[in-house]
Amino acid sequence: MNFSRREFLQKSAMGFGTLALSGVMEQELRGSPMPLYPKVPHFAPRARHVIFLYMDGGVSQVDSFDPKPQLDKENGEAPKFTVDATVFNNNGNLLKSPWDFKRYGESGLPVSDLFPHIGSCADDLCVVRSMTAFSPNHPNANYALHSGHVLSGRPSMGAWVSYGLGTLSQDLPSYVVIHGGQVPSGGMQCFGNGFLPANHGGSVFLTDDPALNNTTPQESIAGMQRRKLEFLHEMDGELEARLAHAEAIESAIQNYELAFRMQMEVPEVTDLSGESEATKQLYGIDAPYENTRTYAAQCLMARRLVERGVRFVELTINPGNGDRWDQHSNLIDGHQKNAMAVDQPIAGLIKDLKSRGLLDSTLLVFSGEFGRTPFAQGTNGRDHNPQGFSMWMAGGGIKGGMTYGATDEYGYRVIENKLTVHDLHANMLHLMGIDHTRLTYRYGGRDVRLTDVHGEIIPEWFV
Amino acid sequence: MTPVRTGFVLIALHGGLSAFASEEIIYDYDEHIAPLLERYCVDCHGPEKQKSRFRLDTFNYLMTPGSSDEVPIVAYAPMESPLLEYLLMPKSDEYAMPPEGEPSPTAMEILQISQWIYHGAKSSEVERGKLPLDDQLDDTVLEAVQSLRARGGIVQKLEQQSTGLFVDLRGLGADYSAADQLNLELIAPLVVELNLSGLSGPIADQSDWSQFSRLQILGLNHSQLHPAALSSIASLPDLSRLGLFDTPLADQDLSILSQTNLHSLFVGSSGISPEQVQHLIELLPQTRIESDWDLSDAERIIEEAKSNSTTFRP
Repeated sequence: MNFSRREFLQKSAMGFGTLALSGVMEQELRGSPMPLYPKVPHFAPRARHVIFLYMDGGVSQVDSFDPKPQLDKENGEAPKFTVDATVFNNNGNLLKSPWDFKRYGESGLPVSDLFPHIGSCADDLCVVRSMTAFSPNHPNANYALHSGHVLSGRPSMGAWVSYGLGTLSQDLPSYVVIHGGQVPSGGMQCFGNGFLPANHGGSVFLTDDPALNNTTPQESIAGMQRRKLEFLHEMDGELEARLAHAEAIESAIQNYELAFRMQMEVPEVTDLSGESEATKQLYGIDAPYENTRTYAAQCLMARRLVERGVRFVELTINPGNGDRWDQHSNLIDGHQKNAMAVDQPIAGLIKDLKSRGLLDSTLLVFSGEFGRTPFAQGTNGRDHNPQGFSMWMAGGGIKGGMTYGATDEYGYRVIENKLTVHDLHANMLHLMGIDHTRLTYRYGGRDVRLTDVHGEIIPEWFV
Repeated sequence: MTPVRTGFVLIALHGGLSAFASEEIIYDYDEHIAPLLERYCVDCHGPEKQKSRFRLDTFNYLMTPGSSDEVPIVAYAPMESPLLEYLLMPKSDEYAMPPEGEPSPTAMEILQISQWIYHGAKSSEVERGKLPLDDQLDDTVLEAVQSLRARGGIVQKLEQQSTGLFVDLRGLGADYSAADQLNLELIAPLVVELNLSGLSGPIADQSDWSQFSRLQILGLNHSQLHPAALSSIASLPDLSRLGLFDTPLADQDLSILSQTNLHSLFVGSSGISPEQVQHLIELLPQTRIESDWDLSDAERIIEEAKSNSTTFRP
């Protein structure tokens, strides 16, 4: 069994598809051609899964995790610092946070009254206050947050993780997006596989029933679907063997196969009815606010996916909070609704994962694409601020109850330990046992990385 | 610090090297060198004490500076290796190791160390770790690995340069059989991380876990355990994380864990009483024990928030 993959495919008269069906041989082969078969990490991982809590639109740092008493003192005054052009450039006076901050836990980590539930998990959080974004515009900042690059078409971080590590579940995709309904600015391609093989793209599950369409076989005779698939595989396999190597066909064959297995698994994993009432209450599935209920279902589903071995789960927020976290006006109303929707479900997820011992092996990341200005847009909103914002991580080998980096006294620019998304990605991969400088894919004539030529590992974050 | 080497030792060393070379004895870290270091050095340069910040208790510490200023071993170059330099100093030198009056390696033992360095300071264990998994294993074990994989389990190296295994058999679900269990036992001494969550059947028959001698992380959530299994699991020397969430246990089962070195233990929804959990927390201050979350915490936060006008919109 020492011949190369190419030789193997050429010699295989039956084609590759039939082999995939046998389900055994691919695992005996060096380099396992099944792209989702789990790969050996570079070094022992602390995190085996990631849940990315994507705060679409840009949470205001000075209203959430980066308190600025100076804003209280100078509220309503013109900024004494140089204000750079903003997106709408309708910049008003300094605007203090409408929310009080409380210190939580043994660490005394300050969290605003937007997030009392997340605050109760403060000792598990590593709050990074020195993030910066590559663009002040939503689509480009979204692409950068997901792919490290401001233009569209690059593989998303979930796709890189899938490519680097494969899945721990045979019956589910390695990268799942549980879609709350709010399509990010820049589109669903934020979750795409880019130039990586198509198997690694984010599979979008919905909060509707069914979570995924077309998982019910339509054939009236038992076994007919299997026979159809095998015939399809045979034909694809012949073409595949003739071409010797055609990634698109390989991906298609494997996607058919995975889709077949998902017919069984997806309805089960997305069915929350088996969860105890107490668990549902913990997440807020019975909460009075509708969007809390939806996000609670997403968080609970995320736990169930992680429990079954999915590598990377990403949650989008729900529409119906007025707007994403993008309060150019009516900051109080918009941020409150957005916070109310996610606060209790996220805290429930942390507590539930912790109780099951899964938090140690699951990295949670809470981040938007940028922050918001400490001065007003108009009178009661905040514009985009890429020059300094907050995000937090928990679990997966992350040290809790700590802050890292700092913005200036107004929360406007980073003044200590400035980071970019490359640094975030490098550390996420590191926690999963991947050396980000060695996870490469040949594209456009060079070995491309998620972190381009950047990315600093920050050991202070790790347990 | 000045290296001091006596002519006598140098002559003996060269004579010794050629004598060994003609016999083609290749010493190995794991078999020959580690026991010597263990006997003479590790008391002061090991996990307990790290005098001058040197540790000599693992291959990795020998080949990297760790927190010390020097790398103890320079492969292929005995006379450039600080470890040998310290060993060869006259005992009157304050840097001589082991210090005067302490048991010291014999000349023959020092020659073994230098011979080992001369041939590249190899560790068979580390060399094996560089091989693909299939080449590390003998036929019986390889067959067991392949069989578990064919059944839907994941068996792979924990990391690229390692001989330890990551094993996740959750995919077998209700199909987990006595034959699978036998295969698992065949690979047991290699397993560092093991996830058997959700499995039942044969698991309930396994009372002796001692063959999992390298196990560090064990996931047994939603599974069934033999009543005697816990005492066997608790005595695994390297076990640091044990998941027993939703695994049926009784209070007296858990009392066996009072001896454990576990770093973290998960006993939520397992039937253990809150009193017993509290008792364990007090008994094992160095172990992080997680039990069920308290729903009243979330309810209290909601109530408090209602009376706080800046938290929720009225």
